[in-house]
Amino acid sequence: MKEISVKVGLNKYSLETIRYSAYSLTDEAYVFLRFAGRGAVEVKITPKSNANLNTLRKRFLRELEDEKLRERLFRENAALREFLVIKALTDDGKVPKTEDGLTPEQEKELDELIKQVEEEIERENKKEGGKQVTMTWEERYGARSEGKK
Amino acid sequence: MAPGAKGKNSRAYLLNWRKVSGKRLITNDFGYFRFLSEKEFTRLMSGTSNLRPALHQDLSKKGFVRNWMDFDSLSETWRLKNAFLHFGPGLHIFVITLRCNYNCLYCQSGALPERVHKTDMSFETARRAVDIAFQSPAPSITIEFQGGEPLLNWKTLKKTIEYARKKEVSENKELSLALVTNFSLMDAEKAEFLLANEVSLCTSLDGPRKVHDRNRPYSKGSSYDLAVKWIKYFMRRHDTQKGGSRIFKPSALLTVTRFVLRYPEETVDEYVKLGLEDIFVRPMSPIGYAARVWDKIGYNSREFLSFYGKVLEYILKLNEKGVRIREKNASLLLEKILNRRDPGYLDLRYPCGAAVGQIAYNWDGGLYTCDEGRMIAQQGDDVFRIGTVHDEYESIVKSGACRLCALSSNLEQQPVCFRCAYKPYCGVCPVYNHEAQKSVWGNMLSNERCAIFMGIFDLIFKFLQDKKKERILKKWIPEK
Ligand code: SF4
Repeated sequence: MKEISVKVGLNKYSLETIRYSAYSLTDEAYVFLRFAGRGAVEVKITPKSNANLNTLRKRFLRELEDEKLRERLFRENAALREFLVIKALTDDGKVPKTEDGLTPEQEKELDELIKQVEEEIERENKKEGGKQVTMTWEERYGARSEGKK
Repeated sequence: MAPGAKGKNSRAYLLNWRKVSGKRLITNDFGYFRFLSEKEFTRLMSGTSNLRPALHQDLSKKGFVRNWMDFDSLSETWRLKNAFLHFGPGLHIFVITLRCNYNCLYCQSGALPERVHKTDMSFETARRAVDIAFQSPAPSITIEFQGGEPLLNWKTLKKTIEYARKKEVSENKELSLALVTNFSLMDAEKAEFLLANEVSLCTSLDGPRKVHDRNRPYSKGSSYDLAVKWIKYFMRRHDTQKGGSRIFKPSALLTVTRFVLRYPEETVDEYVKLGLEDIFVRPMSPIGYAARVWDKIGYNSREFLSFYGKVLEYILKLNEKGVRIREKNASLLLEKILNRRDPGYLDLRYPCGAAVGQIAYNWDGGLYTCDEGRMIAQQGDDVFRIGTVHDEYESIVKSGACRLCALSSNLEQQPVCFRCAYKPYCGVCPVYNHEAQKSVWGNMLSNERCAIFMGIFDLIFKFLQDKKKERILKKWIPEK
């Protein structure tokens, strides 16, 4: 059976990025992941029909780059995003419109506010049982041992 | 320093992107979008200090630049865009009977022959259904009567309309009533009663006579002639009304089977000829009975999109000449894209409308997440059942099926959708996924419904890059 193998370094892409990029091929291929030593993952791509191997490889590499960018954007904005959604869900909806740019004082105030909000959310998340799920169950509690209830 | 000033570097706020006609389309949670060149996109991603001031300003206003966000205005935009989250089910679909006197090729509602009376909804069941509908926290509700052919169970239909109108007064909740009928059993007396009770009327119109009659065979004559006759009648009544109860314009639904695909322009002309201002080009789904005959009447996403593109191009040409006609899918999406408002499109939002936006009440009192969920039950699979008319509203919205649909239609949890530029305007259908991909979650990479909507979005965003087309499309929706 024809297949292609791509080795991806974990120093360049996170495991999550590799996982999604692999998933994104599943319309055309079966994708098998396994660790190749400590710092790399081997991605084995087997086309489901007669899709071109090289095209699939290129698609995978392109997706890795895109996903890396998305991962960074998400990480940088997760706390701010959560704040905005909570605000939207809890405000009463009476908002004055600001059409023009902000004054330097307002700008400074805004920067301060973003910083404060991010720190606050960060603190909240660090607390046990915080609202945001930032790690897997295994990462948080360790793998469940056999027979433990 | 005003936004756009040079020297102020910031990072981009969370956004998704996609290439559309050579440009990078970027969108965000608030529903804002912007087309960028490759160079502008790269600059935005590596910090905003090198962006043109005007571009920087526009991106900031739209919430794409994290240090230049107007929290109040953006969260308000998000709130209005997702206003439906604060209401309960607004649409209540009553399957008054499963009987039908037509033999439509694709009948997705799973209709039964005219003589099988045991599938008529009793008034007692309908009354309980109305009581549940009025328990919804939604400030206004719509009860839509359909079937089968609902006029075959006129006795229950009439009594239910009277009861619902009385309840509207005692409960002080705004009520709209709608009837979906093939018009074959319509007569002057029924028409007067429906108009006096402000029931809006909707029928099917599948294009020119040869296509409509083929799609909807009727043993006693031409289904096309009957549809056209009554559309004209109710249109005339609408146009000549003089106060008293409101008379709504009749509307029509187009079900796109394989036979319709050959007649994009003729189909639109048919609607224009009758004075209908909206044509809803809905793709058919391989759900219920339609799944069994899909190889005869169905099509793939490419075939549908080719038809859809021709319809849209033709409508824009007609608009240029001053003809009033819109395509409904596109106008609903444009309301989301350009006005960032929820137009109440239950199929394209997240979570989807299942049980939290609509409830389907089967003739026997069984309740389902939606009419499609009910059709699946008719094939013996009760996965989308949320209760019965004897249950309390609270237990219905807390049902397992309701939660299942809310979870699986949440695009934040759909890996492909979460990364898709169309996420702010789109939605997935757990019933479709369950039927077509054997899992309520589905897999959007090989999902034909996703392919169709992605194609429709691509087309709309392509048109929005064309000034002339953009100007026309903007007239399709209310000015913000
Ligand atoms: S269903 Fe398809 S088009 Fe819609 S958001 Fe998901 S991936 Fe995008």
